[in-house]
Amino acid sequence: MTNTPKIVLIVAVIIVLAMVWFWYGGNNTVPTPSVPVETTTAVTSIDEDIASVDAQLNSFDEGMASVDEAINDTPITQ
Amino acid sequence: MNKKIIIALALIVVALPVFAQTSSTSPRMTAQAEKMRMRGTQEVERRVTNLNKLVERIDNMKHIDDNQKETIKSALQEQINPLRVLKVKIENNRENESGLKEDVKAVTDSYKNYSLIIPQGQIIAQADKLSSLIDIMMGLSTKIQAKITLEQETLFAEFNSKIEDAKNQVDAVVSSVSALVPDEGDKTKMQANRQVLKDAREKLRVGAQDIRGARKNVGDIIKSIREKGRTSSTTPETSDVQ
Repeated sequence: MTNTPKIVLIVAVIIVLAMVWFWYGGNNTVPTPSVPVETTTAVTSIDEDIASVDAQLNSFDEGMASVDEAINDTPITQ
Repeated sequence: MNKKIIIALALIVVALPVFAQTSSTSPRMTAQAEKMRMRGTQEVERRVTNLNKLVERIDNMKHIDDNQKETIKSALQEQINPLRVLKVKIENNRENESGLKEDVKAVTDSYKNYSLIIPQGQIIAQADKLSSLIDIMMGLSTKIQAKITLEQETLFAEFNSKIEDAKNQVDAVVSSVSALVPDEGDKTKMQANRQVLKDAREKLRVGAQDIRGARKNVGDIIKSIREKGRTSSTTPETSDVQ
Protein backbone atom coordinates (compact mmCIF):
# COMPACT_ATOMS: atom_id res chain seq x y z
CA MET A 1 0.00 0.00 0.00
CA THR A 2 1.39 3.40 -0.95
CA ASN A 3 1.39 6.32 1.47
CA THR A 4 -1.52 8.18 -0.13
CA PRO A 5 -4.24 5.56 0.48
CA LYS A 6 -2.89 5.09 4.02
CA ILE A 7 -3.26 8.80 4.74
CA VAL A 8 -6.75 8.85 3.21
CA LEU A 9 -7.73 5.85 5.39
CA ILE A 10 -6.35 7.47 8.55
CA VAL A 11 -8.12 10.77 7.79
CA ALA A 12 -11.37 8.90 7.14
CA VAL A 13 -11.07 7.03 10.45
CA ILE A 14 -10.35 10.31 12.27
CA ILE A 15 -13.39 11.95 10.66
CA VAL A 16 -15.63 9.01 11.64
CA LEU A 17 -14.29 9.05 15.20
CA ALA A 18 -14.83 12.82 15.38
CA MET A 19 -18.42 12.42 14.22
CA VAL A 20 -19.04 9.66 16.75
CA TRP A 21 -17.54 11.79 19.51
CA PHE A 22 -19.59 14.81 18.44
CA TRP A 23 -22.82 12.84 18.34
CA TYR A 24 -22.48 10.77 21.50
CA GLY A 25 -20.18 12.97 23.53
CA GLY A 26 -20.13 16.62 22.55
CA ASN A 27 -23.74 16.78 21.37
CA ASN A 28 -25.04 15.18 24.55
CA THR A 29 -23.28 17.72 26.74
CA VAL A 30 -25.83 20.33 25.67
CA PRO A 31 -27.82 21.24 28.83
CA THR A 32 -30.98 19.18 29.10
CA PRO A 33 -34.28 21.04 29.33
CA SER A 34 -35.44 18.92 32.27
CA VAL A 35 -33.85 21.17 34.89
CA PRO A 36 -36.23 21.44 37.86
CA VAL A 37 -38.18 24.71 37.90
CA GLU A 38 -37.00 25.47 41.43
CA THR A 39 -33.39 25.84 40.32
CA THR A 40 -34.36 28.66 37.96
CA THR A 41 -35.88 30.80 40.75
CA ALA A 42 -34.31 34.23 40.74
CA VAL A 43 -32.09 34.95 43.71
CA THR A 44 -33.17 38.20 45.30
CA SER A 45 -30.84 40.55 47.14
CA ILE A 46 -31.18 41.31 50.83
CA ASP A 47 -32.47 44.79 50.02
CA GLU A 48 -35.09 43.38 47.66
CA ASP A 49 -36.21 40.92 50.33
CA ILE A 50 -36.54 43.72 52.88
CA ALA A 51 -38.57 45.83 50.45
CA SER A 52 -40.82 42.83 49.83
CA VAL A 53 -41.32 42.34 53.58
CA ASP A 54 -42.33 46.01 53.97
CA ALA A 55 -44.83 45.77 51.12
CA GLN A 56 -46.30 42.50 52.38
CA LEU A 57 -46.62 43.83 55.91
CA ASN A 58 -48.77 46.69 54.56
CA SER A 59 -50.90 44.19 52.68
CA PHE A 60 -51.14 42.09 55.85
CA ASP A 61 -52.51 45.08 57.78
CA GLU A 62 -55.20 45.57 55.15
CA GLY A 63 -56.09 41.89 55.48
CA MET A 64 -56.47 42.27 59.25
CA ALA A 65 -59.24 44.82 58.64
CA SER A 66 -61.15 42.11 56.74
CA VAL A 67 -60.59 39.67 59.62
CA ASP A 68 -61.96 42.19 62.14
CA GLU A 69 -64.93 42.90 59.90
CA ALA A 70 -65.64 39.15 59.57
CA ILE A 71 -65.38 38.47 63.32
CA ASN A 72 -67.64 41.42 64.22
CA ASP A 73 -70.15 40.78 61.43
CA THR A 74 -73.87 41.38 62.14
CA PRO A 75 -76.66 40.27 59.80
CA ILE A 76 -79.16 42.76 58.41
CA THR A 77 -82.07 40.37 59.00
CA GLN A 78 -81.59 40.11 62.77
CA MET B 1 -48.38 23.75 57.26
CA ASN B 2 -49.78 23.53 53.71
CA LYS B 3 -51.86 20.47 54.58
CA LYS B 4 -53.30 22.19 57.62
CA ILE B 5 -54.32 25.17 55.51
CA ILE B 6 -56.01 22.91 52.97
CA ILE B 7 -57.88 20.99 55.68
CA ALA B 8 -58.92 24.26 57.27
CA LEU B 9 -60.33 25.56 54.03
CA ALA B 10 -62.11 22.30 53.34
CA LEU B 11 -63.74 22.47 56.76
CA ILE B 12 -65.09 25.96 56.27
CA VAL B 13 -67.19 24.79 53.37
CA VAL B 14 -70.38 23.97 55.20
CA ALA B 15 -73.73 23.55 53.53
CA LEU B 16 -75.95 26.55 53.94
CA PRO B 17 -79.60 25.69 54.53
CA VAL B 18 -81.47 26.47 51.40
CA PHE B 19 -85.04 27.55 51.16
CA ALA B 20 -88.59 26.52 51.56
CA GLN B 21 -91.91 27.88 50.48
CA THR B 22 -95.40 27.20 51.73
CA SER B 23 -98.81 27.47 50.26
CA SER B 24 -100.70 30.20 52.04
CA THR B 25 -101.14 33.29 49.94
CA SER B 26 -102.29 36.81 50.56
CA PRO B 27 -103.49 39.20 47.90
CA ARG B 28 -101.22 42.05 48.91
CA MET B 29 -97.98 42.32 50.82
CA THR B 30 -98.07 44.39 53.98
CA ALA B 31 -95.54 47.19 54.51
CA GLN B 32 -93.87 44.96 57.07
CA ALA B 33 -93.49 42.20 54.51
CA GLU B 34 -91.97 44.65 52.04
CA LYS B 35 -89.48 45.72 54.67
CA MET B 36 -88.69 42.07 55.36
CA ARG B 37 -88.14 41.47 51.63
CA MET B 38 -85.79 44.43 51.38
CA ARG B 39 -83.74 43.30 54.38
CA GLY B 40 -83.63 39.72 53.16
CA THR B 41 -82.41 40.81 49.73
CA GLN B 42 -79.79 43.13 51.19
CA GLU B 43 -78.54 40.42 53.53
CA VAL B 44 -78.15 37.90 50.70
CA GLU B 45 -76.34 40.49 48.54
CA ARG B 46 -74.04 41.33 51.42
CA ARG B 47 -73.16 37.69 52.06
CA VAL B 48 -72.62 36.90 48.38
CA THR B 49 -70.28 39.91 48.12
CA ASN B 50 -68.29 38.75 51.15
CA LEU B 51 -68.13 35.13 49.95
CA ASN B 52 -66.86 36.39 46.58
CA LYS B 53 -64.20 38.45 48.33
CA LEU B 54 -63.15 35.31 50.18
CA VAL B 55 -62.90 33.42 46.89
CA GLU B 56 -60.62 36.21 45.65
CA ARG B 57 -58.44 35.94 48.74
CA ILE B 58 -58.15 32.19 48.31
CA ASP B 59 -57.07 32.82 44.73
CA ASN B 60 -54.20 34.92 46.06
CA MET B 61 -53.00 32.33 48.59
CA LYS B 62 -49.43 31.17 48.05
CA HIS B 63 -49.17 28.00 50.09
CA ILE B 64 -51.69 25.89 48.17
CA ASP B 65 -51.51 24.86 44.50
CA ASP B 66 -53.93 25.78 41.70
CA ASN B 67 -55.88 22.50 41.83
CA GLN B 68 -56.49 22.85 45.55
CA LYS B 69 -57.54 26.46 45.06
CA GLU B 70 -60.04 25.44 42.38
CA THR B 71 -61.53 22.75 44.64
CA ILE B 72 -62.02 25.22 47.49
CA LYS B 73 -63.31 27.96 45.22
CA SER B 74 -65.88 25.71 43.58
CA ALA B 75 -67.00 24.52 47.02
CA LEU B 76 -67.48 28.14 48.09
CA GLN B 77 -69.33 28.77 44.85
CA GLU B 78 -71.71 26.00 45.86
CA GLN B 79 -72.52 28.10 48.92
CA ILE B 80 -73.01 31.25 46.88
CA ASN B 81 -75.38 29.74 44.30
CA PRO B 82 -78.21 28.76 46.72
CA LEU B 83 -78.07 32.26 48.19
CA ARG B 84 -78.53 33.72 44.71
CA VAL B 85 -81.50 31.42 44.09
CA LEU B 86 -82.96 32.48 47.43
CA LYS B 87 -82.55 36.13 46.53
CA VAL B 88 -84.45 35.68 43.26
CA LYS B 89 -87.24 33.91 45.16
CA ILE B 90 -87.48 36.70 47.72
CA GLU B 91 -87.47 39.38 45.04
CA ASN B 92 -90.10 37.71 42.90
CA ASN B 93 -92.50 36.66 45.65
CA ARG B 94 -95.07 39.45 45.61
CA GLU B 95 -98.07 37.54 46.91
CA ASN B 96 -97.15 34.74 49.25
CA GLU B 97 -96.29 36.49 52.51
CA SER B 98 -95.79 33.39 54.63
CA GLY B 99 -93.56 31.93 51.90
CA LEU B 100 -91.57 35.15 51.95
CA LYS B 101 -91.27 34.88 55.74
CA GLU B 102 -89.90 31.36 55.42
CA ASP B 103 -87.41 32.38 52.76
CA VAL B 104 -86.16 35.28 54.88
CA LYS B 105 -86.03 32.93 57.86
CA ALA B 106 -83.89 30.56 55.78
CA VAL B 107 -81.51 33.47 55.21
CA THR B 108 -81.44 34.20 58.94
CA ASP B 109 -80.98 30.53 59.89
CA SER B 110 -78.08 30.09 57.49
CA TYR B 111 -76.23 32.93 59.22
CA LYS B 112 -74.86 30.57 61.90
CA ASN B 113 -72.84 28.82 59.18
CA TYR B 114 -71.90 31.98 57.33
CA SER B 115 -70.77 33.69 60.54
CA LEU B 116 -68.19 30.92 60.95
CA ILE B 117 -67.16 30.44 57.31
CA ILE B 118 -66.25 34.05 56.67
CA PRO B 119 -63.95 34.72 59.66
CA GLN B 120 -62.49 31.20 59.36
CA GLY B 121 -61.60 31.79 55.72
CA GLN B 122 -60.29 35.31 56.29
CA ILE B 123 -58.11 34.15 59.19
CA ILE B 124 -56.69 31.19 57.23
CA ALA B 125 -55.95 33.47 54.25
CA GLN B 126 -54.25 35.90 56.61
CA ALA B 127 -52.19 33.05 58.12
CA ASP B 128 -51.13 32.23 54.56
CA LYS B 129 -49.90 35.82 54.11
CA LEU B 130 -47.95 35.56 57.34
CA SER B 131 -46.44 32.28 56.11
CA SER B 132 -45.20 34.08 52.99
CA LEU B 133 -43.56 36.73 55.16
CA ILE B 134 -41.95 34.01 57.27
CA ASP B 135 -40.58 32.38 54.09
CA ILE B 136 -38.89 35.63 53.05
CA MET B 137 -37.51 36.14 56.55
CA MET B 138 -36.09 32.61 56.63
CA GLY B 139 -34.40 33.30 53.30
CA LEU B 140 -32.98 36.50 54.75
CA SER B 141 -31.73 34.59 57.75
CA THR B 142 -29.71 32.28 55.50
CA LYS B 143 -28.31 35.19 53.48
CA ILE B 144 -27.35 37.20 56.54
CA GLN B 145 -25.85 34.28 58.44
CA ALA B 146 -22.87 34.17 56.08
CA LYS B 147 -22.12 37.84 56.64
CA ILE B 148 -22.50 38.47 60.36
CA THR B 149 -19.66 38.88 62.80
CA LEU B 150 -19.60 38.60 66.60
CA GLU B 151 -20.98 42.13 66.86
CA GLN B 152 -24.24 41.18 65.15
CA GLU B 153 -24.72 37.75 66.74
CA THR B 154 -27.10 38.87 69.48
CA LEU B 155 -29.31 40.75 67.03
CA PHE B 156 -29.22 37.79 64.67
CA ALA B 157 -30.31 35.39 67.44
CA GLU B 158 -33.15 37.78 68.32
CA PHE B 159 -34.13 37.95 64.64
CA ASN B 160 -34.29 34.15 64.33
CA SER B 161 -36.19 33.79 67.58
CA LYS B 162 -38.87 36.22 66.34
CA ILE B 163 -39.27 34.31 63.09
CA GLU B 164 -39.61 31.08 65.05
CA ASP B 165 -42.29 32.63 67.24
CA ALA B 166 -44.17 33.92 64.18
CA LYS B 167 -44.12 30.37 62.79
CA ASN B 168 -45.53 29.03 66.04
CA GLN B 169 -48.29 31.63 65.97
CA VAL B 170 -49.26 30.66 62.41
CA ASP B 171 -49.30 26.95 63.28
CA ALA B 172 -51.49 27.62 66.32
CA VAL B 173 -53.88 29.78 64.28
CA VAL B 174 -54.29 27.18 61.53
CA SER B 175 -54.80 24.23 63.87
CA SER B 176 -57.26 26.02 66.18
CA VAL B 177 -59.38 27.66 63.47
CA SER B 178 -59.48 24.60 61.23
CA ALA B 179 -60.98 22.57 64.09
CA LEU B 180 -64.05 24.79 64.37
CA VAL B 181 -67.47 23.50 63.33
CA PRO B 182 -70.78 25.41 63.03
CA ASP B 183 -72.60 25.90 66.34
CA GLU B 184 -76.01 24.70 64.98
CA GLY B 185 -77.75 27.17 67.24
CA ASP B 186 -75.91 26.12 70.41
CA LYS B 187 -75.11 29.41 72.15
CA THR B 188 -72.32 27.94 74.29
CA LYS B 189 -70.64 26.55 71.22
CA MET B 190 -71.16 29.82 69.39
CA GLN B 191 -69.40 31.71 72.16
CA ALA B 192 -66.58 29.14 72.24
CA ASN B 193 -66.14 29.45 68.45
CA ARG B 194 -66.11 33.19 68.71
CA GLN B 195 -63.45 33.06 71.40
CA VAL B 196 -61.25 30.79 69.25
CA LEU B 197 -61.61 33.21 66.33
CA LYS B 198 -60.69 36.15 68.55
CA ASP B 199 -57.69 34.28 69.97
CA ALA B 200 -56.58 33.42 66.44
CA ARG B 201 -56.89 37.06 65.49
CA GLU B 202 -54.66 37.96 68.43
CA LYS B 203 -52.10 35.31 67.40
CA LEU B 204 -52.01 36.78 63.90
CA ARG B 205 -51.37 40.18 65.42
CA VAL B 206 -48.54 38.78 67.58
CA GLY B 207 -47.07 36.96 64.56
CA ALA B 208 -47.09 40.17 62.53
CA GLN B 209 -45.50 41.98 65.45
CA ASP B 210 -42.75 39.33 65.45
CA ILE B 211 -42.14 39.95 61.75
CA ARG B 212 -41.99 43.71 62.32
CA GLY B 213 -39.47 43.15 65.12
CA ALA B 214 -37.42 40.82 62.93
CA ARG B 215 -37.59 43.40 60.13
CA LYS B 216 -36.10 45.98 62.48
CA ASN B 217 -33.42 43.49 63.57
CA VAL B 218 -32.41 42.77 60.00
CA GLY B 219 -32.21 46.50 59.25
CA ASP B 220 -29.94 47.03 62.26
CA ILE B 221 -27.78 44.03 61.33
CA ILE B 222 -27.26 45.25 57.75
CA LYS B 223 -26.52 48.77 58.97
CA SER B 224 -23.96 47.43 61.43
CA ILE B 225 -22.27 45.26 58.80
CA ARG B 226 -22.09 48.16 56.33
CA GLU B 227 -20.76 50.61 58.91
CA LYS B 228 -18.11 48.13 59.99
CA GLY B 229 -17.18 47.68 56.34
CA ARG B 230 -16.77 51.41 55.83
CA THR B 231 -14.48 51.83 58.84
CA SER B 232 -12.36 48.82 57.98
CA SER B 233 -9.53 48.96 55.46
CA THR B 234 -10.28 45.42 54.30
CA THR B 235 -13.92 45.37 53.40
CA PRO B 236 -14.81 41.94 52.08
CA GLU B 237 -18.22 41.65 53.73
CA THR B 238 -19.37 45.21 52.98
CA SER B 239 -19.42 44.74 49.25
CA ASP B 240 -21.51 41.59 49.70
CA VAL B 241 -24.33 43.31 51.59
CA GLN B 242 -25.56 45.63 48.85
